Order: sequence, then structure tokens, then C-alpha cells
Amino acid sequence: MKWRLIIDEGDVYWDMAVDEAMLLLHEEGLTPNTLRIYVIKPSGVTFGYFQRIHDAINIDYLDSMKIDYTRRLTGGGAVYHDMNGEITYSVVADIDDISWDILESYRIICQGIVYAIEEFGLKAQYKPINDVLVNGKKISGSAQARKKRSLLQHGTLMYNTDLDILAKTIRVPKEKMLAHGIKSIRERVTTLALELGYNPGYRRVINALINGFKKALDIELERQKLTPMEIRYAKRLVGKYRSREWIYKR
Amino acid sequence: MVKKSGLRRIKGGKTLKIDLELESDIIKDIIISGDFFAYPAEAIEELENTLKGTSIHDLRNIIIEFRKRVTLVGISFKDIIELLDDLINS
Repeated sequence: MKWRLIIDEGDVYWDMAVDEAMLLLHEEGLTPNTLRIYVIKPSGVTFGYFQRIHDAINIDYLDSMKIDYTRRLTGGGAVYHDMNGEITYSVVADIDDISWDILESYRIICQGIVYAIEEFGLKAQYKPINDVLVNGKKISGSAQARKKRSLLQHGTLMYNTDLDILAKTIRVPKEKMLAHGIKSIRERVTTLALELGYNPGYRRVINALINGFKKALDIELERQKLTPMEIRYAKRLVGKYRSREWIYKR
Repeated sequence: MVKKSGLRRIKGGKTLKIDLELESDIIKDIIISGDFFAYPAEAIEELENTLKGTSIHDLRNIIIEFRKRVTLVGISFKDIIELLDDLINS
């Protein structure tokens, strides 16, 4: 099966708006199955639809560092998208083409990340529901939203994320810290650069993701651009992702 | 008005938090939050809105009724009911 490949970049509000636009238009039959690979630029933070903002992120730090942040359409936890160390992907597809079983669909799509990491000669492991680990440490997280017939799954692959900034941007509940023991972020999270001993650079990571998703989803990819309609929808949606009402929704 | 807040780490790694405002036995406000997933997503807000204004004695039945309308991933309705019980009895 042939899918569309989009490679682009934008600020965190625009990127979230594009993902939602693609999902809404796919549901209407107006957007094809798509793999989108993007860099959130400038660096930004997203947090899960059901999270309370004050529990999820350090607003004071983000404001003082002028780092953008917004709520995602999808559930899950908070993510620091380092423009020099992280690639974000989104998959928009017919649920029919992935799986109606929610957990199975996470596994199928996350396998693309596993294959991408394996391209660097590392061993990666999918950890349900939505994580990929290398040497027992988290290197990737994903989150999925569904409409009646379409799904959007987006997620992250850290190749050289600044973990000191990550630790300052995201809040971890006390209970979660206790369950993990008093472990530093470096004992729980990793990047391709830390595992490889060198920074592979974003171009190689993007190519690895393309190959990984081709293999995991058994698809061919054709590089295209967003359609004028997708851009129009995204322009309409971007205001929501910038709005205080949405960001502070809960 | 009594405000209660509880957090529970769920097996598998997700976190569930419930913030509750009670006036005697009536739920004035409730927010169910965390890093879980729900399909459809709108169902969590619908559940919160349904629970507002109801008695704590009706909670369990309302939540059980809601199970048919939403698939939770990472947490379960049992987790929500247990955390609510803990909060109400605390």
C-alpha cells in the first residue's frame, strides 16, 4: 500500500494543528494515509489531553526560558520536544489498515520506532502501552486519538535531547518518583546519542524512521506536501492550540 | 465545602488523579486527570459533568453505567471507583 510522506517543521502550536487537521480531514476521506515526520521548532513542550497543566509541566521555568507549550489532542504524558535532539512523527490512517484493537494498534505503530532504532545497531523494546525502551530506559513515547474510522498516533524519538532541560520542563508526580525509587532522569530516560556514544544527527534519524515505519506498516511512501485544504484547516485550528482556554482547560 | 484530592499510580505506569469538591454528600466539582488514554476522549468530561450535582451514594452506579460508552487505556473504571472511595472515606 502506498502512503503519503510529509517531512516538515513548525512551532508546537502549528504542529499540533496540522496533526489535528490531518485527522479531521482523513475522517472525511479528504486526507490519505500519511506518515508525517517533523521537528518542533523552536523547542516546545506538549502535555496530555487529560493532564492538569500544573501537575504536568513547570510553567514558571518554561515562561522564563520562553519555551512554547500546549495541550495535545491525545492523552498520555508531557513531552519536551528539543529541536536539536528530538524527532516527532505522526501516523494518520484508516483504523481498518492498522487495527481496531487499541493496544494492538499502539504496538504495530510503535514497532516502526523499534525498527528505526535497530537501524543504528541498538536493541529496542516496545513497552505497552506507548513506550519504546533501549537498555531499559525510555527513548520514545506515543499517543493516539481516534475518530470513527481514522486514527492519529503521534510520538517522539529522542536522539540527542538535553535531558537537564527535559527534567526542568516536565513535572513527575511524587508517587511516580517513589515507585521508580529516587532515580535521576538519566537512569530512566535515554537518547540515541547516549546509547551510541555519538550524535547521529537528525537526517539519519529521519531516514531511520522512514525505513522503520515502511517495515512495520508494510507500506511504500511517496513524499508530498500538505494539501491547501489541510493548511487551511490547520490555520483555523492553530488559534486553539495557542489559546489560554485550551492550554489551561484543566 | 470540602476539597479532596488523591493520586494513584496504576500498575503499568500511568497516573490517575481525582480532585473532588463536596458539599455534604453532593459532588460540586470533580476533575479526573492523568497521563492515561480514553476513547472517545470527550467521555471523561461527559462523566465529570454527569457526576456534578449527584450524591456520592450514586457514584458507583453512574460510573458503571458509563463503562459501555468509553474504553479506558492505562487505567480502569475500578481504579476510578477505588480512588473515589478512598477520597470520600478519607
